[in-house]
Amino acid sequence: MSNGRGDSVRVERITKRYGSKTALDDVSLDVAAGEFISLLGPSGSGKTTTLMSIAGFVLCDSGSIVIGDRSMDGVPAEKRGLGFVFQSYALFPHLSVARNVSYPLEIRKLPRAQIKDKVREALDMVHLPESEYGGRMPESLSGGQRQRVALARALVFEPRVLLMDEPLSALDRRLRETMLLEFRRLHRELSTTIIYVTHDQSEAVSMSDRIAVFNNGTIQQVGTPYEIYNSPANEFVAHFIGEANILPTSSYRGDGVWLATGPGGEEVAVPGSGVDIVAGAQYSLMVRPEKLRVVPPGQGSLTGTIDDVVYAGDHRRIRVQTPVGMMFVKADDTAAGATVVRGAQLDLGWEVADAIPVQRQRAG
Amino acid sequence: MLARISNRLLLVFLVAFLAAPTIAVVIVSFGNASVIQLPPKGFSLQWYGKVLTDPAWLAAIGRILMVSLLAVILAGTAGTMLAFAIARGGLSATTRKVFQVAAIFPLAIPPVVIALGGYTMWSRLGITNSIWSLVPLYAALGCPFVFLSALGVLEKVGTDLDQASASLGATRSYTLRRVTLPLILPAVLTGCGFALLTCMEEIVIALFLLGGHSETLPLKIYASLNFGVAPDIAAVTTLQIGLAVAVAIAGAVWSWLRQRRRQLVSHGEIDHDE
Repeated sequence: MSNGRGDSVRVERITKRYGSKTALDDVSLDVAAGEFISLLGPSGSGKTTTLMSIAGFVLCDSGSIVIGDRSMDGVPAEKRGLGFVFQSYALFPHLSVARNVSYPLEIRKLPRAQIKDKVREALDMVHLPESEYGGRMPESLSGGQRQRVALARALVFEPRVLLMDEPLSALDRRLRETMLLEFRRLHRELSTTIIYVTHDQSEAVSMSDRIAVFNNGTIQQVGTPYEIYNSPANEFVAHFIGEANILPTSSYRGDGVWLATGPGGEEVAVPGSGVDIVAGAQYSLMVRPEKLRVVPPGQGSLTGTIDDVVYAGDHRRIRVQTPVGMMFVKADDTAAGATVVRGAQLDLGWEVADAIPVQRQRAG
Repeated sequence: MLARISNRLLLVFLVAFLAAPTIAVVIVSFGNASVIQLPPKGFSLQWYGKVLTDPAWLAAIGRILMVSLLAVILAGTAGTMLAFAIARGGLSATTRKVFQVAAIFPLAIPPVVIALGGYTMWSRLGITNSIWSLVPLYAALGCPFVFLSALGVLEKVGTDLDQASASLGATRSYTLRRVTLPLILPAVLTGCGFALLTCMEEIVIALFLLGGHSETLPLKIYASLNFGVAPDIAAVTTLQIGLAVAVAIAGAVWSWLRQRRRQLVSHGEIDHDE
């Protein structure tokens, strides 16, 4: 069940309602020991409620949480032994940095000398030397330093699972990137299981072993960042991770050809993968903007009128109005010699394997 | 430039206007005549001597101190608990509103209403002319001050710290002792200071409940006025003013010491292990 210093976490069919609103609807998730998993989704999707349930801050109406091989039924938060890093850092403002970090050790009644050593090690680990920062008060630290202290405090008692709730969302972009690298390094060094809640897809993609995508209180898909990006389970996932062109279809004609349907009901045959489709389900085709190519006139799968062009240095973003809807293209500068200006005609092509069937979202 | 000077003058005038009665009383209390004189002909401490050696004045001072301190202890406890209930009790929005209004009600209604209510209540219970009957009413009077300042801090602090403490292994009572109470203590004490001053100046309720049998300090001052305005009243009042100033200074010194300690700690001059 455990590997190195991480524990597995099993979330079994948890449901949580607040009044008439369902925050979590029968959510199950298996996190392997030592894994770095991100819970990704928009606000109100249930990712934070899931994290809070694991931590013991939220009690579910049904379902259970198992950490390692221990059921958490009836175990209060303070007995779960999990590290938790808050978006707000949640440092104790009346205690110095060293006292904040020693807090969990004092509760565990460790000998003073051992506490001193462990505090020093934990602060070293987050690059805040105890000699310099130990005596500082939290209010005198920058946001990034506070989050480092919070991290040291959450790790100093060597929890086997670390829960993080949007720990970087209060920091500016540069600092976020630095901290991301820090988190990865710490995860490598400690091999603690990390469950990381974020609404930022780039954070999730760059750090996680796996990502669980949440929406409307349910998990839409669990997979590696590669799987999530390249074979999203449905339109929501396709839209949420990266950019996606979605073409509603009416049917698969076989041989890599789909019938796409436009807003007016007109049908256009377009290339698309037929792998893994289930009879009876409604599909849309998803094509990533970078997989679309500008091709010479007459050779494309779809012809449209350029609606807008944005120059972005190493590429151009072209918005094309086609019979099956607006398409976004990320094109390099060569663009097959076509005239890329607003109003011009443009032919678009793509590989069969690059148009991936995704389950249509049910309305509502 | 002219505008600045006239602004300054206006400020000085306002401060003088607000402080003038107080200053007059203080000056009169140090006079040496047997009647109120402003300005006094000479300086003397005779009125303080008279007050501080007169058993009746001392008893009145003792009574008001005792009643007020007991009331403040009650108000401090009740106000803090009410603030916790509202900030952390998980009450519905409506219940919160109702309790919140109820908790500050004593501030909003005229003292004479509390006095009349208190008088009716105590006479039903057959308790009249007891100095102790003041304590619960004074506690109710002081409670809103503690409640409001404690609630402000609790709402500002939020529940993240409680959760953080729990995640680090602390039980609720440990969190309360080590985190929450230390954080709200300054606010609670500030509230208690205001409550104390309010109680020590209270006269309407005392007038209804005690009817002159045993006198609190404000009652005795009021009663003494019937025999004419003598400088001993000025001396007593100055003592009261002195207490208010002392409470304010104590608060300021305390917060300055805390600030200073923090700075020392953050410069590593105090061993942070302690």
